[in-house]
Amino acid sequence: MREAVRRVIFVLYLAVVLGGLTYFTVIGMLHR
Amino acid sequence: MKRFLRDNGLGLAFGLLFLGTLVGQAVAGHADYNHRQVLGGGQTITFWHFLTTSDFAVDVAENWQSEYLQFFLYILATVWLVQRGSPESKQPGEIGRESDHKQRVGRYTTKDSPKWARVGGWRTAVFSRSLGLVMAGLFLFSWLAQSVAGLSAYNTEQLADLADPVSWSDYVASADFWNRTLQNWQSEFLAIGSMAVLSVYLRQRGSPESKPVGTAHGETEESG
Repeated sequence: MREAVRRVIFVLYLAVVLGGLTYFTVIGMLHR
Repeated sequence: MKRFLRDNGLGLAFGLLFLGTLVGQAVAGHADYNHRQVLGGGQTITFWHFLTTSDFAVDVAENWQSEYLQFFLYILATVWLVQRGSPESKQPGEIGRESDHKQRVGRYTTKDSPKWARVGGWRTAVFSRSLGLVMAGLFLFSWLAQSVAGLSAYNTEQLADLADPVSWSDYVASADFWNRTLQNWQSEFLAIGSMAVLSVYLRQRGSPESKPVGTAHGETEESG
Protein backbone atom coordinates (compact mmCIF):
# COMPACT_ATOMS: atom_id res chain seq x y z
CA MET A 1 0.00 0.00 0.00
CA ARG A 2 2.73 2.47 1.01
CA GLU A 3 4.71 1.41 -2.06
CA ALA A 4 1.67 2.17 -4.22
CA VAL A 5 1.41 5.68 -2.72
CA ARG A 6 5.08 6.39 -3.48
CA ARG A 7 4.51 5.24 -7.05
CA VAL A 8 1.58 7.64 -7.37
CA ILE A 9 3.78 10.55 -6.28
CA PHE A 10 6.49 9.41 -8.74
CA VAL A 11 3.99 9.28 -11.62
CA LEU A 12 2.49 12.65 -10.59
CA TYR A 13 5.89 14.36 -10.75
CA LEU A 14 6.62 12.94 -14.21
CA ALA A 15 3.10 13.76 -15.42
CA VAL A 16 3.35 17.40 -14.26
CA VAL A 17 6.75 17.88 -15.93
CA LEU A 18 5.91 16.09 -19.19
CA GLY A 19 2.45 17.68 -19.34
CA GLY A 20 3.89 21.13 -18.68
CA LEU A 21 6.59 20.75 -21.33
CA THR A 22 4.07 19.50 -23.90
CA TYR A 23 1.83 22.48 -23.10
CA PHE A 24 4.71 24.99 -23.47
CA THR A 25 5.81 23.42 -26.77
CA VAL A 26 2.28 23.50 -28.18
CA ILE A 27 1.85 27.15 -27.11
CA GLY A 28 5.09 28.01 -28.90
CA MET A 29 4.06 26.15 -32.03
CA LEU A 30 0.66 27.86 -32.10
CA HIS A 31 2.51 31.22 -32.07
CA ARG A 32 0.46 32.69 -29.26
CA MET B 1 -2.37 9.75 7.01
CA LYS B 2 0.24 10.94 9.51
CA ARG B 3 2.59 8.20 8.36
CA PHE B 4 1.94 9.06 4.70
CA LEU B 5 2.94 12.69 5.33
CA ARG B 6 6.05 11.69 7.31
CA ASP B 7 7.23 9.15 4.74
CA ASN B 8 6.79 11.49 1.78
CA GLY B 9 7.64 14.87 3.33
CA LEU B 10 10.31 15.89 0.81
CA GLY B 11 8.32 15.05 -2.32
CA LEU B 12 5.12 16.61 -0.99
CA ALA B 13 6.71 19.75 0.48
CA PHE B 14 8.70 20.58 -2.64
CA GLY B 15 5.75 19.70 -4.89
CA LEU B 16 3.59 22.20 -3.02
CA LEU B 17 6.37 24.82 -2.98
CA PHE B 18 6.70 24.36 -6.73
CA LEU B 19 2.98 24.86 -7.37
CA GLY B 20 2.83 27.90 -5.06
CA THR B 21 5.82 29.62 -6.62
CA LEU B 22 4.64 28.79 -10.16
CA VAL B 23 1.37 30.60 -9.38
CA GLY B 24 3.42 33.47 -7.93
CA GLN B 25 5.53 33.64 -11.08
CA ALA B 26 2.37 33.67 -13.22
CA VAL B 27 0.82 36.52 -11.19
CA ALA B 28 4.00 38.63 -11.27
CA GLY B 29 4.65 37.76 -14.93
CA HIS B 30 1.12 38.84 -15.87
CA ALA B 31 1.50 42.18 -14.07
CA ASP B 32 4.87 42.76 -15.74
CA TYR B 33 3.49 41.82 -19.16
CA ASN B 34 0.59 44.27 -18.86
CA HIS B 35 2.94 46.97 -17.56
CA ARG B 36 5.07 46.62 -20.69
CA GLN B 37 1.96 46.57 -22.88
CA VAL B 38 0.77 49.87 -21.38
CA LEU B 39 4.22 51.48 -21.82
CA GLY B 40 4.34 50.31 -25.44
CA GLY B 41 0.80 51.48 -26.21
CA GLY B 42 -0.48 47.89 -26.57
CA GLN B 43 -3.55 46.17 -25.14
CA THR B 44 -3.54 44.52 -21.72
CA ILE B 45 -4.63 40.88 -21.40
CA THR B 46 -6.40 38.80 -18.74
CA PHE B 47 -4.53 36.49 -16.35
CA TRP B 48 -5.91 33.36 -18.09
CA HIS B 49 -4.87 34.70 -21.49
CA PHE B 50 -1.36 35.34 -20.11
CA LEU B 51 -1.07 31.64 -19.16
CA THR B 52 -1.40 30.79 -22.87
CA THR B 53 1.29 33.24 -24.05
CA SER B 54 4.72 32.13 -25.17
CA ASP B 55 6.16 34.81 -22.83
CA PHE B 56 4.98 32.77 -19.85
CA ALA B 57 5.98 29.44 -21.46
CA VAL B 58 9.56 30.45 -22.28
CA ASP B 59 10.17 31.93 -18.82
CA VAL B 60 9.14 28.66 -17.13
CA ALA B 61 10.85 26.32 -19.64
CA GLU B 62 14.22 28.09 -19.55
CA ASN B 63 14.45 27.53 -15.81
CA TRP B 64 13.30 23.91 -16.01
CA GLN B 65 15.92 22.97 -18.61
CA SER B 66 18.78 24.29 -16.52
CA GLU B 67 17.61 22.40 -13.43
CA TYR B 68 17.41 19.10 -15.30
CA LEU B 69 20.79 19.76 -16.92
CA GLN B 70 22.20 20.40 -13.45
CA PHE B 71 20.95 17.10 -12.08
CA PHE B 72 21.89 15.13 -15.19
CA LEU B 73 25.47 16.45 -15.12
CA TYR B 74 25.74 16.02 -11.36
CA ILE B 75 24.54 12.41 -11.53
CA LEU B 76 26.97 11.64 -14.34
CA ALA B 77 29.95 13.70 -13.12
CA THR B 78 29.89 12.13 -9.65
CA VAL B 79 30.44 8.70 -11.23
CA TRP B 80 33.82 9.83 -12.59
CA LEU B 81 34.88 12.88 -10.56
CA VAL B 82 35.40 13.11 -6.80
CA GLN B 83 35.91 15.94 -4.31
CA ARG B 84 37.95 14.77 -1.34
CA GLY B 85 36.19 15.69 1.90
CA SER B 86 32.79 16.36 0.31
CA PRO B 87 29.68 14.40 1.37
CA GLU B 88 28.45 14.87 -2.23
CA SER B 89 31.38 12.77 -3.45
CA LYS B 90 32.26 9.11 -3.16
CA GLN B 91 35.65 7.92 -1.96
CA PRO B 92 38.57 8.74 -4.29
CA GLY B 93 39.24 4.99 -4.68
CA GLU B 94 35.75 4.28 -6.05
CA ILE B 95 35.90 6.28 -9.29
CA GLY B 96 33.92 4.68 -12.11
CA ARG B 97 30.85 2.47 -12.42
CA GLU B 98 31.89 0.10 -9.58
CA SER B 99 31.61 -3.70 -9.36
CA ASP B 100 28.41 -5.74 -9.80
CA HIS B 101 28.84 -6.84 -6.20
CA LYS B 102 28.87 -3.28 -4.85
CA GLN B 103 25.99 -2.27 -7.15
CA ARG B 104 23.99 -5.41 -6.32
CA VAL B 105 23.22 -6.37 -9.92
CA GLY B 106 23.13 -9.73 -11.74
CA ARG B 107 23.91 -12.58 -9.34
CA TYR B 108 24.44 -10.17 -6.44
CA THR B 109 20.79 -9.07 -6.29
CA THR B 110 18.70 -9.70 -3.18
CA LYS B 111 15.10 -10.94 -3.10
CA ASP B 112 13.89 -7.33 -2.76
CA SER B 113 15.95 -6.04 -5.71
CA PRO B 114 13.99 -4.53 -8.63
CA LYS B 115 13.34 -7.12 -11.37
CA TRP B 116 15.26 -5.15 -13.96
CA ALA B 117 18.39 -5.21 -11.76
CA ARG B 118 18.23 -9.03 -11.71
CA VAL B 119 17.33 -10.05 -15.27
CA GLY B 120 20.54 -8.88 -16.98
CA GLY B 121 20.80 -7.93 -20.66
CA TRP B 122 19.44 -4.68 -22.05
CA ARG B 123 16.90 -4.23 -19.26
CA THR B 124 19.57 -4.16 -16.53
CA ALA B 125 21.75 -1.95 -18.75
CA VAL B 126 18.89 0.56 -19.18
CA PHE B 127 17.79 0.40 -15.52
CA SER B 128 21.41 0.96 -14.42
CA ARG B 129 21.34 4.29 -16.29
CA SER B 130 17.66 5.19 -15.91
CA LEU B 131 18.07 8.16 -13.55
CA GLY B 132 20.60 9.87 -15.81
CA LEU B 133 18.69 8.98 -18.97
CA VAL B 134 15.42 10.44 -17.68
CA MET B 135 17.13 13.62 -16.42
CA ALA B 136 18.89 14.00 -19.80
CA GLY B 137 15.59 13.42 -21.63
CA LEU B 138 13.77 15.99 -19.51
CA PHE B 139 16.61 18.47 -20.06
CA LEU B 140 16.45 18.06 -23.85
CA PHE B 141 12.63 18.28 -23.89
CA SER B 142 12.72 21.44 -21.69
CA TRP B 143 15.39 23.01 -23.88
CA LEU B 144 13.32 22.24 -26.98
CA ALA B 145 10.22 23.75 -25.32
CA GLN B 146 12.27 26.84 -24.39
CA SER B 147 13.45 27.22 -28.00
CA VAL B 148 9.96 26.82 -29.51
CA ALA B 149 8.22 29.13 -27.02
CA GLY B 150 11.19 31.53 -27.09
CA LEU B 151 10.99 31.75 -30.88
CA SER B 152 7.31 32.63 -30.68
CA ALA B 153 7.87 35.30 -27.99
CA TYR B 154 10.86 36.69 -29.89
CA ASN B 155 8.94 36.94 -33.16
CA THR B 156 6.03 38.68 -31.43
CA GLU B 157 8.50 41.36 -30.33
CA GLN B 158 10.10 41.50 -33.77
CA LEU B 159 6.72 42.12 -35.40
CA ALA B 160 5.82 44.76 -32.81
CA ASP B 161 9.09 46.51 -33.66
CA LEU B 162 8.31 46.21 -37.40
CA ALA B 163 11.24 43.81 -37.87
CA ASP B 164 11.20 40.50 -39.79
CA PRO B 165 10.35 37.32 -37.84
CA VAL B 166 13.14 34.71 -37.68
CA SER B 167 13.14 30.93 -38.26
CA TRP B 168 13.68 28.32 -35.50
CA SER B 169 17.22 27.60 -36.75
CA ASP B 170 18.04 31.32 -36.72
CA TYR B 171 16.56 31.67 -33.23
CA VAL B 172 18.62 28.85 -31.66
CA ALA B 173 21.75 30.67 -32.89
CA SER B 174 20.48 34.05 -31.61
CA ALA B 175 21.75 36.15 -28.72
CA ASP B 176 18.29 36.02 -27.08
CA PHE B 177 18.28 32.20 -26.94
CA TRP B 178 21.84 31.90 -25.63
CA ASN B 179 21.43 34.75 -23.15
CA ARG B 180 18.38 32.99 -21.67
CA THR B 181 20.21 29.63 -21.70
CA LEU B 182 23.60 30.61 -20.31
CA GLN B 183 22.26 32.89 -17.57
CA ASN B 184 20.57 29.82 -16.13
CA TRP B 185 23.47 27.42 -16.69
CA GLN B 186 26.07 29.60 -14.98
CA SER B 187 24.04 29.79 -11.78
CA GLU B 188 23.47 26.02 -11.72
CA PHE B 189 27.17 25.27 -12.14
CA LEU B 190 28.09 27.77 -9.43
CA ALA B 191 25.56 26.16 -7.09
CA ILE B 192 26.85 22.62 -7.73
CA GLY B 193 30.48 23.67 -7.29
CA SER B 194 29.60 25.58 -4.10
CA MET B 195 27.82 22.57 -2.64
CA ALA B 196 30.73 20.23 -3.43
CA VAL B 197 33.38 22.58 -2.05
CA LEU B 198 31.65 24.33 0.88
CA SER B 199 30.47 21.01 2.34
CA VAL B 200 34.10 19.97 2.84
CA TYR B 201 34.53 22.48 5.71
CA LEU B 202 30.93 23.31 6.73
CA ARG B 203 28.30 21.08 8.41
CA GLN B 204 24.53 20.90 8.85
CA ARG B 205 23.66 18.62 11.71
CA GLY B 206 21.09 15.98 10.71
CA SER B 207 21.24 16.61 6.97
CA PRO B 208 22.22 13.76 4.64
CA GLU B 209 23.70 16.47 2.40
CA SER B 210 26.30 17.13 5.12
CA LYS B 211 28.94 15.03 6.83
CA PRO B 212 28.35 14.33 10.54
CA VAL B 213 29.41 17.44 12.50
CA GLY B 214 32.48 15.82 14.06
CA THR B 215 33.85 14.29 10.85
CA ALA B 216 37.38 15.37 9.88
CA HIS B 217 37.52 17.89 7.03
CA GLY B 218 39.61 15.53 4.89
CA GLU B 219 37.27 12.58 5.30
CA THR B 220 34.97 11.86 2.35
CA GLU B 221 31.67 10.61 3.77
CA GLU B 222 28.73 9.78 1.57
CA SER B 223 26.11 10.85 4.09
CA GLY B 224 25.73 12.14 7.61
